[in-house]
Amino acid sequence: MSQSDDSTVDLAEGIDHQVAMVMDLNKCIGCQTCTIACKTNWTESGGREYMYWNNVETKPGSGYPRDWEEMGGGWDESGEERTPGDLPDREDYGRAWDFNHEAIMYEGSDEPLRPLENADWGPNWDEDEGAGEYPNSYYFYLPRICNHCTHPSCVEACPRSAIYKREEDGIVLVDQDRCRGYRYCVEGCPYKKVFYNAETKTSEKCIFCYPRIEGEGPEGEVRPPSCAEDCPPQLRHVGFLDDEDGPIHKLVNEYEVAVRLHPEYRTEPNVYYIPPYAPPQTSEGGETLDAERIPRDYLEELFGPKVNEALNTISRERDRVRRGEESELMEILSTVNNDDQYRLEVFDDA
Amino acid sequence: MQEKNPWPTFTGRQQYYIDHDWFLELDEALPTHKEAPVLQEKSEYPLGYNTPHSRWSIHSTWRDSSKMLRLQRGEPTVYLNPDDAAERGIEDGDTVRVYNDLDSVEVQAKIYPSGEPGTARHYFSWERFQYPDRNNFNSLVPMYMKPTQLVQYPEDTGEHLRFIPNYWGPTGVNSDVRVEVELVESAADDADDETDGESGSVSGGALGRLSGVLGGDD
Repeated sequence: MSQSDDSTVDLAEGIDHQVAMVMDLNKCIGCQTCTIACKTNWTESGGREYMYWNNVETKPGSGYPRDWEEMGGGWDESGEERTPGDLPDREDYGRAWDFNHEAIMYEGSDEPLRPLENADWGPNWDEDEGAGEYPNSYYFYLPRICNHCTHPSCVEACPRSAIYKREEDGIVLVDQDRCRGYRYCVEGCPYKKVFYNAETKTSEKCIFCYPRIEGEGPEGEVRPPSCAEDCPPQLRHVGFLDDEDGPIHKLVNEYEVAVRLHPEYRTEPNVYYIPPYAPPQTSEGGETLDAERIPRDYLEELFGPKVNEALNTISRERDRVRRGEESELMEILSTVNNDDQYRLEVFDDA
Repeated sequence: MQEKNPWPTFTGRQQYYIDHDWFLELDEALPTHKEAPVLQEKSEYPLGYNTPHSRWSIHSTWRDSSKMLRLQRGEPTVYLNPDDAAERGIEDGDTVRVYNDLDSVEVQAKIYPSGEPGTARHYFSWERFQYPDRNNFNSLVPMYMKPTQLVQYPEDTGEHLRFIPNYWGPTGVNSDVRVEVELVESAADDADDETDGESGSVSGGALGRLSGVLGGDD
């Protein structure tokens, strides 16, 4: 770990700046617009059909690929030895079903529209199920992309140094010329966000829409990744972790309300989450009870012990606003101004 | 006022009060609560039926999009509370029949712990061609006409009130419908074995045909 010249933020060694994203889970409605934006841009064809560089899964739930949290990868407690990880099989990802539109629309078939193959699992199969019993059942949506980690176990796993963190902004990329498709990175990533392309015989992954942040977005402008920009409730902040005047630095390092998913994997993700709130439990008769709907244990399991202080801070600041006081934190979290949410043109060299 | 024009009502403003003879006679000159008609007996059709708008389409647009269907089950689903499903021997992924006295639709069961016990939620706007019988979520929902929906007022121009489908006219009574659900085919059985679409379709009579005509792609 080293620090850049004028910053107090920890960045990976040899990295000038680090892109980062904060996703507010309280705003996610599970509409999958981010998933479709990503898919349409990057993974529609050519062996990528099954891939979701961005996916949204229901939590609690087994997610995408199925039971990815049970598949190992990441680092041991010392943070120096990699933990062995599994390679998901095709069924764990779910198949990109084709449908019989052609037969119905053009050939007069009176069959119903159905997948052309047996469909018994998919990337969002357990949507909306969650856990608990009515009326105190609970679930929330978790959008996931590559975390562009500060201490990426996928990079360490590659014997050819084909997967690397790029110097200017810490985006993790697979050099398609160097990659031989060994899939050590797929095994090594505990979030299962590197994917093997059986047609190109190389591994591929989320590229943080780097052409967009480099100014090759629509209209030749700098744009945030399309998963962020296309989000109907605009739940993401995008910028640099080491931009100390930016909202990400404030949410992550100053207020400490944006926390990492599974910090115990020790890859130090640069995607952070504002943890979800839910209404309190209710009695059979419909009265409000003094009991949290989403068990705190479960949130700790996902986001580590820091989630407690994050929730406390948000509650405290929310109360300030209720009393009519000012809260910079609540202003950052409730902004509807994209210029405040997306800060990508702050460093001359990035 | 809209674009500096008064509203096309008697008062030139938004107004609730309608002094038409029929409204006065039916005691509806102001918005009035009336008890819902009993369409299906609870003893016969135990589950309350609703068809909420979903977040995966805008009406039926994109309802059959392959990209969106891959993020769902690939076919229409009905959400059932786990206890209601267990009582009927239904498991997640099974093919089930949702029916009442009007019609019967064949869909996939999805277990939904957040569903209120005693309800069946069948999200709105699946296309007819996504059902084996080419019916849809609305086939179970009648549309009743009320005399007040036939009023044209004033009689010559209808400027204040006139029949306009989807604005002033009959609509489905979505919240008053009851259904029952039964297992057609277990997901554990060979899922490649296509079910024939003939099973137990209930003849809807005139009302069924009306809902067939009006209840299509919304």
